[in-house]
Amino acid sequence: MPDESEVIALWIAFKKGDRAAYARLINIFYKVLFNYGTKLCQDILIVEDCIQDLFLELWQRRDYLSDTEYVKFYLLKALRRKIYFEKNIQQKRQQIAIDTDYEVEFIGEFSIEANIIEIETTDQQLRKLNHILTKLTKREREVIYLKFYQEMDYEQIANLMSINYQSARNLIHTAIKAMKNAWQKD
Amino acid sequence: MNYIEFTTEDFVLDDYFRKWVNGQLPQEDDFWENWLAEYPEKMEMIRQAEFVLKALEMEHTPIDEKRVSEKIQQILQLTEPVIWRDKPTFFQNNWLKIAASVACIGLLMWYFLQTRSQLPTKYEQLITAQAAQSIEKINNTNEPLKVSLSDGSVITLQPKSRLSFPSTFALDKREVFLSGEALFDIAKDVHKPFLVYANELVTKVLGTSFSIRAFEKDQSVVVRVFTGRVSVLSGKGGTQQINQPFNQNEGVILTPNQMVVFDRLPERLTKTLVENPRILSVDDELPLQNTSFNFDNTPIEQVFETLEKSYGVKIVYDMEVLKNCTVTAPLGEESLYDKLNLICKVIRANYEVVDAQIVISSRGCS
Repeated sequence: MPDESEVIALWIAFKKGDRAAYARLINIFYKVLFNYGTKLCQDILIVEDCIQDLFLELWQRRDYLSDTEYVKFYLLKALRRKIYFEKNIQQKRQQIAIDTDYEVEFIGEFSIEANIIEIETTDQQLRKLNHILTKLTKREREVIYLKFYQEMDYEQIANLMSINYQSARNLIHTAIKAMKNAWQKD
Repeated sequence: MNYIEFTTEDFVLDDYFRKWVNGQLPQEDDFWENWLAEYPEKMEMIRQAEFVLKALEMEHTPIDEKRVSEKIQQILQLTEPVIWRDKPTFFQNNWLKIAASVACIGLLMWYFLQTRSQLPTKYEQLITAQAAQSIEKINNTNEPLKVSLSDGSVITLQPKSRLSFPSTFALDKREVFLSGEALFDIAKDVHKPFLVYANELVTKVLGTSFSIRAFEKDQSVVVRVFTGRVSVLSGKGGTQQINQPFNQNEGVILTPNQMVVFDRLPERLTKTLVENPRILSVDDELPLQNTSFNFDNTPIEQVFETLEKSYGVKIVYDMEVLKNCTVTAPLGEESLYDKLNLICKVIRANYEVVDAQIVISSRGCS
């Protein structure tokens, strides 16, 4: 991942119509977006379509885009919204949940078994941990993902998920506290 | 940063600490090792934070690098600006300008006529043309999806396929719309023909089983028949045909083990045999008389008759040339094509499938 100032410079150049900067931005963010997208939607084809759409729109609307220091945040948010609309349309086509407003569901899973082996744990700790992880809500998972994988601050996470700053903070702290307790040996 | 006062949560949330746990710090950065050496009493807390971080790792959908670069190329191509090269000398002659504009107008007209002559045939357009309230089933899973209709018909929708049908069928016909691939098992109702609109093809049946493959992106549309009789109408059918009587003259009739391939560019209907013809069961229009393929000095005429009846296919050959040929071969479970290969070897012949018929050419047996 290139540093922030490089990305900001690329963004400014791209807005002026610089094709190379545009291509570079796509190369930098495609996988980041794919990773997030596949945690919001199981269908890879839909995710790919949404990403393509997003970049096409960026190019078409480049003259109207504002300068932003938070390019990644901007892109992730746009993708989240796209997937939200796409899934909503699909749900309606299938005549499910027409009356309820559809929420983006975070479907990312923890890969605890594979990683925890690296550090010393007892069976009991592992059991507790598994229990806690399965109990984490979709929102908690998404906050954790955005914080640890996309390195976003609380303000961005709150904005992206349309929750308030304090909720974003609380969601993460509750989760970490629970996991911390799992580590404590009885 | 005053790490002394840090709690476990603070460590977990600290980017610098997290990079160290994940091994993302440069080799020469030994800050954390030094820090721990200085404050060994913090060891427990550090291990706890490490444990939490490791536990929070997530599964990631594998990324196919090749696909990613293809997708990126695609985006770049789609946004590629059209470049008009400025060559001032090129248009200096007036006649060149005129010629160019004539060519442009010609192109425009051609395009206009081209688009006008192409009536809307796509699934979406067909759907929107429907007045009656319809139900749509979309198979986004990786498994076939069974859809039961009110008339008792069962449609098996393949992945990435969509099917649309009215909530109640019309009095005189049953119409459904397909995009993608599906297998149809249609309940018999002679008074209500069953019509499937799939891209440029309209398939009409009375009661039968068949499959249609009509993906919007594919170059061709394929209809395969397993049982019964099916007529397929091609061409710029689509919406226009919906309210018009079905004109069989424009289409082809398919019997079991036959299929039709509709090539979209250029538009062309080809009738042929399915890839792996099946032996017809007794329920079919051509009942089985002799299931035994154990030929023992059997005259070729009888051999071909057995195959024709079993598979419901037509075999064309010159009786005069083959009159002395006999076949001795204990055939059984092989596919129709394997049987034909073996038989042709014996009688020194070749076969080809032309217009859903098997044509035998041979120099005869002495």
